[in-house]
Amino acid sequence: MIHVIFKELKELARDGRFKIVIGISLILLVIATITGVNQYQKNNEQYINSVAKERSIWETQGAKNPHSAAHYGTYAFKPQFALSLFDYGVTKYTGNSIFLEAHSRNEASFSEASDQTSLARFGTLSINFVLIYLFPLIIILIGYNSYTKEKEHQTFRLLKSQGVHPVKLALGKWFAIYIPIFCLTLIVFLLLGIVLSNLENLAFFSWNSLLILFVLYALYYLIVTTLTVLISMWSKSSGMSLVSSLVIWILFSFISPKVATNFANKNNPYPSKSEFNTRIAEDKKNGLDGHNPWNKAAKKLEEETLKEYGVDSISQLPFNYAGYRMQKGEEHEAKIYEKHYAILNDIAIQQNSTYKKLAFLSPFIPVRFLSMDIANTSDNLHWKFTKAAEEYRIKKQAFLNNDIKDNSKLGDWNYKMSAQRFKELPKFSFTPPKLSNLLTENKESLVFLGFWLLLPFITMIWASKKI
Amino acid sequence: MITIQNITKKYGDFTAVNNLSFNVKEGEILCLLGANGAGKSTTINMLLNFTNPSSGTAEINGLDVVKNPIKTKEFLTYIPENLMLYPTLTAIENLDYFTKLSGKKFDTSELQLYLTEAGLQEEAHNKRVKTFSKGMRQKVGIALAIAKESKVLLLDEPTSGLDPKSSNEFMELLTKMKNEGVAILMATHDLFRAKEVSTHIGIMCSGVLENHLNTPEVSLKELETIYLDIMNFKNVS
Amino acid sequence: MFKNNLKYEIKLLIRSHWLTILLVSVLLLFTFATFNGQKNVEKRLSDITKVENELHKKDSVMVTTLKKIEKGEKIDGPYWRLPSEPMTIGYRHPRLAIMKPETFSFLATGQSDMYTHFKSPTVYGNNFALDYSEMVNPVQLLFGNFDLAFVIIYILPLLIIAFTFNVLSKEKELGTLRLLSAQPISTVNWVLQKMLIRYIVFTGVILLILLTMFAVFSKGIFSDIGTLAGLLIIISGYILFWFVLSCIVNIKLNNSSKNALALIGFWLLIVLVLPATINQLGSTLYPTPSRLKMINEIRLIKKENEEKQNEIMSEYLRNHPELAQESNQDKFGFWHNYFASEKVMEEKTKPLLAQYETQLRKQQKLVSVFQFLSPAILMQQSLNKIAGTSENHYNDYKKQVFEFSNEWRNYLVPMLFKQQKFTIKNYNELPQFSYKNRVPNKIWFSIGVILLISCIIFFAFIGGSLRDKSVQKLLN
Repeated sequence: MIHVIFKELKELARDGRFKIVIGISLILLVIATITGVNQYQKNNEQYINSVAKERSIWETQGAKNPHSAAHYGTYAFKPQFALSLFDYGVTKYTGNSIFLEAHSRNEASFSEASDQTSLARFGTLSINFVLIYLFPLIIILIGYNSYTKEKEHQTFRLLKSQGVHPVKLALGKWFAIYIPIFCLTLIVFLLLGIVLSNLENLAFFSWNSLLILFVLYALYYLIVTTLTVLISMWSKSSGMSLVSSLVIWILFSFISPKVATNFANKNNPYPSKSEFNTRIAEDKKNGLDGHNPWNKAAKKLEEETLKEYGVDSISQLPFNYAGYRMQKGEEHEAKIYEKHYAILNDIAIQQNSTYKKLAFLSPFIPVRFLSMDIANTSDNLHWKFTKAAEEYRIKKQAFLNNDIKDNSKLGDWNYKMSAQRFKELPKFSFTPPKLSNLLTENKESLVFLGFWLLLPFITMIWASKKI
Repeated sequence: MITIQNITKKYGDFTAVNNLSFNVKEGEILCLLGANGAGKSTTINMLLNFTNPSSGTAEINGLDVVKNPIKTKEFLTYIPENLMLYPTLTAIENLDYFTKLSGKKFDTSELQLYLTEAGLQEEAHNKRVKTFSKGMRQKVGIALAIAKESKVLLLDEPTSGLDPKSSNEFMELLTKMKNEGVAILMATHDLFRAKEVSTHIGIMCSGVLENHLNTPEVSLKELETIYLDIMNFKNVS
Repeated sequence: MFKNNLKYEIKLLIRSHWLTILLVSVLLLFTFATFNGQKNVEKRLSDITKVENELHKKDSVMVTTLKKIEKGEKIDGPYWRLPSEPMTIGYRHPRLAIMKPETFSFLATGQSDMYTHFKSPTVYGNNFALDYSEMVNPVQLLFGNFDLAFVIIYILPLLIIAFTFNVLSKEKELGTLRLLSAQPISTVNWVLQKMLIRYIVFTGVILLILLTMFAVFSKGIFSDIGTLAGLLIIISGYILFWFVLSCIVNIKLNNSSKNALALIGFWLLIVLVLPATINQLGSTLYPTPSRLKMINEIRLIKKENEEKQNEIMSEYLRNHPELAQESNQDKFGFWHNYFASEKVMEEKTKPLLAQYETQLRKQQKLVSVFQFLSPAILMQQSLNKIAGTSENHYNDYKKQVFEFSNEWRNYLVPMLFKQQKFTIKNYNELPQFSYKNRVPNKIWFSIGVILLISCIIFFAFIGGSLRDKSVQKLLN
């Protein structure tokens, strides 16, 4: 088998086309890395500055009524994860900042894509772009004629007459196609790791994640290699083999994901933003309103509170009832948001599961999802971030409302919280999920990848004996 | 009809045809004999303007092929060593297509007549060419020559790979065309067929025309001796 | 020769089953894409209907309350919730600014999946910095839609490549080329004729199926014959470009597998790599300032604003003397303050926001230069423009909403300061928004560009071969 591998590699090394393609890919990788690092550093610096500035704005707002401060609000910023320069994922389409104010949960606003031209929809050149779209093409280019060339030059009969075991021959060719791409990928990831570990202010970089990413792409290339060899075995001519492999590539990387989008949208449509807001407003209207003492639920709360403390009027309560009502209102509203966002999250999960189920059409899909997830640039991560921001908002509201409740008198709307106390609000921090958690969350995708690894491979072994 | 004067073809340092001159008149068959790489095919390619001579001139019907690459092709038919036709078209359709490309137009019955004249059995006329043997395809080629009323026929190894019967039939067709006044140039390494069908024989070796004979003046045995002498002499030197 | 070639080329195509394969695959792709496009438009329309109904419901409640107030009945609730207050109408009952789909919207999703198609600008709040993004699963934006634009831009070229990559090389490899070259014809002309015939057949099939799809799914577009003609011509132009490229590769390389690889290479370059690289370079060369920075700056302005509110107030009153009230100053103090600070916010943030627009415009300029390099970009831009889903359309929509929000404010704010109550009569004469497509699609320009590109590369690369009557280059 070693001979087969060497012979194939020798042929490859002498092929000018291979050199050209590798050259172009490497140039693109270099451009992608330079622009990626550049953007990452700029964004990260901006992130660090913004966090610091926003905090100082918060801390230096001076003595103020806590509820005004709540309306003035603050921002939660999404950290720039180290591997986001490898795979931009959906970051372009999700905002990086969430405004945290009283009474409402806001969406992350200002996605990068809305500040760019529609060219962005073609995709963006990134390292992952080259790895996931172009590298499989290199495999196809190397392997499409692995069997057909032997058939066309009639060397196949000669080979068979030498008594080479067909499985060994197949494996030899398979390895010979895979080895160059494996080495190339290994080099790319090693260099990337070195570049990354030399950057300053890198957030959440881990060699483990990079290693898993490497394994992921290496596995994807294995699948593509197997399929390429299989197609070459079954094709009558090199031309047919090339065309079939390319059709498969296009099906995998373009058609399936887009078809999945349409299915996902059809099966689990997102509500429009205004529809979503209307539903929330509807629920809010029927519930407790912290501002409106005439509201039914507010009256009920008043009665209950009075009963609980055994007093007749709110002025006799040991705390400022206005602050208490405000906090209760806030808690109630937060629950409404939680409910509706849970529904929304559910739709998102359903949609993503439609995507992931369509992985049986294309191994590209699970790889794409896993890659984003590990790089912390996925939809999944964005949800985690928005949830963390909401938790922080609730904490912040409680902090401010309780201050009114405990430190001010009823009806004293001129009460001001001391400037110093703003500093006591804990800072917002967000840590991405652990790698092991991510992998468990993506079990489904991993299983699909397993199938894609095994089934074509078994078919290849089986088919190699038949020809 | 075919005139070649002092023609030379060089590929870099390699001389494929060296100062070659001959002519083939109407009603003559010149067979070019020689081993592989002797320059026979190159000579034919130059007559077709498939490749330009480095020096010298080639003329068909008095016209220089380099200056009139398209006009000269009106007078000739070329049958390559392995004549290929469109596999999904029938014999008649192929013939129709190629005659029309030559600016001629015939109806189906006329085309059938030409195919019959070229010796293709009638049941094959409407069959797709992908099932045809080399001999059958060559007959379509001859039919094309008849239909075009070609004055010149250029043949490159026409009998290689043919079974003896087809080969014999093909030679008869050539004789018939010769008698009708066609000038035929045939490259071959089949001494026996050359002696049988040609009026003249040229023996080529390393791009040089070593000997030019009138066929009736030599016997097959003498021809073989001359041929082998030239080959051996060249190999020794 | 042409008639003969035409007859046999079509015969050959039919016998090799190519036409059947083409017909079936194009039919499948186009049906699915048109269907999807239509579904997207339907979703957009149904979302619009939902918000319209919502507004009607809210309005009818509001009108009933208004009637009660006008009759002098007492209403429970705080005064700032009463619809007779102009500010309540202005803030709680805004009108809808709807962007209805165009007739051709089903063609290209464009940016329509990112942005909302209805906005309700209120009398106060940051109307100048509204977020127009729609609620959407970002994965969908990442993968994109399977719409006609995708099929036309990405898949058609591949079909063309498969359909033409070996027109000449196949003849060479089969051996028929030697026989052909021995005929009294110009072989280059003969190849070009074959290509032309295939072009006509291919374009014919595509346009026919496209028209069928339109007739089945979207009859409306036949009312706009001008744009429809432009659309069909630009598609034909795009197909022509790929045919010209294939012609060049066929004549220059003339080896089936090399042809296929070269053409795939071009496809990758034009459809995938160039746009992605230009996009990346565009955002590196003309980066939009960070939105995070903008947030910081707006926050700082807000903070300053609050501190300086009193000063600002008098400044504002100087600008708007008609609003200055001699009496009741206290009662309106809040609103004066509010509008004044908003006005100042708006003035101060204007240059900040303008940066985004200028950078975006610069990026767009870069794109419009590079569309000469990649017809795929040109096609995307043109199709989006025809569909009314380009970023220009959404930017213009934002502008129109902003203009409308001023109109809205100008109607209600004077009422507030003149102490007028809002009545049924006012309700009936409220300003209404109607979206106008003000972005020219410049389709004939794009058609000109794509034809020019095709001509230039055609003559630059095979102009020489046209004059060369010998067949030597093709045979070797």
